[in-house]
Amino acid sequence: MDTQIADIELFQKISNRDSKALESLYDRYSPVLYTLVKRIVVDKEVAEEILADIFVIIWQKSSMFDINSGNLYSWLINLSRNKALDFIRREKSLITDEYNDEYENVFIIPTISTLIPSNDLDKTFSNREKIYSAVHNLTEAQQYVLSLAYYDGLTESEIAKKLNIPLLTVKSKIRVALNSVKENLAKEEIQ
Amino acid sequence: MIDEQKVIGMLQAKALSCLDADENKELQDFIDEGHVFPWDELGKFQNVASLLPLALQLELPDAELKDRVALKLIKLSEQLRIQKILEEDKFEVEEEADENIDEFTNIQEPFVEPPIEIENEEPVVEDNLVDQLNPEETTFNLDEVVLPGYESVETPNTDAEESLTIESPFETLIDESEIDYPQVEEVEISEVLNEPEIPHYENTAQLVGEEYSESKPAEESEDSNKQLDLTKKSVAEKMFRAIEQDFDSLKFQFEESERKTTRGLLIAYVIIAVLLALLIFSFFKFSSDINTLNNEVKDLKKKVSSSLYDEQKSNPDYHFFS
Repeated sequence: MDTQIADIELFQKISNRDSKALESLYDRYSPVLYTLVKRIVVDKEVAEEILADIFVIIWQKSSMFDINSGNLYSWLINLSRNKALDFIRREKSLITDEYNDEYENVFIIPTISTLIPSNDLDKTFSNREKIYSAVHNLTEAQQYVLSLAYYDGLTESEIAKKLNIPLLTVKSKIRVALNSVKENLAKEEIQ
Repeated sequence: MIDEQKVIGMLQAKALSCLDADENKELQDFIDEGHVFPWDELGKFQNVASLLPLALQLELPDAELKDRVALKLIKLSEQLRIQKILEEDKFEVEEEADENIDEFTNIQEPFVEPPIEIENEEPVVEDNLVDQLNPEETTFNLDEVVLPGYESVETPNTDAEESLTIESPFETLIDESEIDYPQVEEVEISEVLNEPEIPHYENTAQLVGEEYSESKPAEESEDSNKQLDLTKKSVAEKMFRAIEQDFDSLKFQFEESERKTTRGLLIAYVIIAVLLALLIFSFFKFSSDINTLNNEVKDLKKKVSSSLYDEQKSNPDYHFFS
């Protein structure tokens, strides 16, 4: 919990243009954000470029994070995922909208509900093994569908088309997969 | 229209952002229509989804990436600074223009109404003037400085844009390694403020603060000394920041004009060289053409005179001009 408070304090300092606070946030979050971005874009150099862009966004748009939500971890993860998926979709020419400030505010900056219980970075890191087993206890098919949805950014229809299986099957697999992870984490008292 | 059961079934996909566009719209309509939506349940699924990256093998970015991020932010700050300078220049020009127009309208007051555009611009000018009067930016006067620790803790950071244009991200790390300063001073400041942000500006403030400390009266109480130190540091910070800003803008303008001059000279050299080459080429071309034509004329003359002569020889009745 202490780390989460520190995260929020860090973010408040970033909002007040404290560059040292941004550096601390980078030290704390860059491994997990880089891992996520690299998993999505695969290329190391592109991943680093995107991570740099993400920290520029954090510096510029820190005021768009609702400090009352307190869930900095989820905000940063969703921001990084949105940014990386946006890159992939632009590479495939699936997005043709101009990338400008307005676009970034709407499609890249996540909106986190204040009703979401906040995640604590230290706690989640200490539970990494449990999270790993919660995900790897799923069937291979469930893991694959989850991966296509989360890391490849495919919609349910696109997944069904890619795997050549009925849409209803995809829907069911996604539902069951995420429910299972949630239940497994709940058993471990992580969520 | 979707029912609540369907909505609950869509939450997982919504949390993973993998809903198809039409379903996403259906869900959005459901929310917009004011139906009870299980936000907390969606939030839980979103939290679960955000934990998924932790199941991956963690990788570390290149150590140099931090420097690249810093560099990007510095470039960004530079851009903002230039933008601000340009805006200020524009504002000054507009202000001058407004003054001129005002004078004109004063003369014509009984006959001509002031243009609507000028009326619209007035609030903008006032806003800018208010910005300019911000002590953070303009004043170096000790009397006008607000003590950050007493008036407001956030005073040094009131203007986010101003800070952006001045600070270089991560620069405090570099400065701290470069400059040694007495520990005693640091302890005093942190005691007064109880806030860890102050050391961010200490390195520059310290240098100037030493100069001021020579004139400090010995009789003052410890608290007032602290206040005075803080004020001096605040002023020193402002002075240094202003000087840094001026210096950077001058440097940038100088570099820009130098670059333009060099580019212009290069282009001029290239054009001159091309013209010279063309001139030489055309000279040789024309002189060779003239020589050829001269030779041809000579040949023709020879041919014509010799053929006529031969004709006359063979035919005594032949006349040159008949």
